[in-house]
Amino acid sequence: MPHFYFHTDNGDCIRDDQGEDLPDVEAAREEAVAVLGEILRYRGAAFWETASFSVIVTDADGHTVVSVTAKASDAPPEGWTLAESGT
Amino acid sequence: MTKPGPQPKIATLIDKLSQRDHVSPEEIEALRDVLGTPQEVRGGVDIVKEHAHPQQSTLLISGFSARYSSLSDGGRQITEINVPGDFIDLHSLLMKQMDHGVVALTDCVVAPAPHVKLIALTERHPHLTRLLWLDTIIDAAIHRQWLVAMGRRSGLGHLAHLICELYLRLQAVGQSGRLRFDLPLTQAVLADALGLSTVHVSRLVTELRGEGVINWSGGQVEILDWHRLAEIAEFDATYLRLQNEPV
Repeated sequence: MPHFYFHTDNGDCIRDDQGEDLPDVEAAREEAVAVLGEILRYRGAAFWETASFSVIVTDADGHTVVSVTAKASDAPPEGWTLAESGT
Repeated sequence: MTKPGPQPKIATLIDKLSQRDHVSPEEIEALRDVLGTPQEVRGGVDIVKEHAHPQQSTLLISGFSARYSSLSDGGRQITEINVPGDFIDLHSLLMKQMDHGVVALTDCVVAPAPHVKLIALTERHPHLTRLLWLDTIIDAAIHRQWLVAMGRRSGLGHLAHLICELYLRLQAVGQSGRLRFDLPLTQAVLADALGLSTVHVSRLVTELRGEGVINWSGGQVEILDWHRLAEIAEFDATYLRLQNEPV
């Protein structure tokens, strides 16, 4: 099974030195989003202080395989508008 | 690891029971009588398999074991970590079929207590029976606290709660130093116990270390600030029933 490392970054990068054996990239995606959700769950309003949190998955050679990022802002996401109701 | 002798060492069990109520010499003798020759179990090996029908219950003499339930995707949830002096499947005496498994987390020494002998013990020693009953009730209390932690505590609070619990349980059986204890478990095992990812557990350990609450290296945990740790955990030791009160 390939070995994947899950580094996390909320301004400071915390390196994952242990990593995990997972069957494939799809399983690494699942783990990455689970890690993101778990850690964000209890950040609360304090998340707006760092405003961004990423999980970066690398392989045994240190190459990035996938990454996932959540962002907090007081502004809407780019290009977003509230759709009129009832149309 | 020391070779298990022919006589099981039950000092940890006696220490634990004696904290809750007086254990008479006859009762200690009765406990000795039910236990068979100790055996070694390697870390990672099942001590009791899920869905088995054991004909004996098992006393953990040294090492750490865990109750767990498996999931179809190959994952597992650990529902309790057991420490020396714990009867890891006294439940099977009455449940008959195991609804969960028990795995050795480290190399362990265990001693069997055949069900026929335990039944005879319950008929001859009602007070000792109540003490053993209490032990299984405390298992249920531990499960309740784990459920609360799993559902409602923060990741940091949950990890802190587990450290507080293990320290007090190991202290009750004379297996800890002053604010320090051996915990030779991998972060993957902790993740299975906390219901979190190993990456998250590793961040939480780093966070507790960074705040100067604990040191954790070489399989040993040192509690630097018990007050702060208990505060993060919102720890209330009532469920461990460590006080001496007759049963």
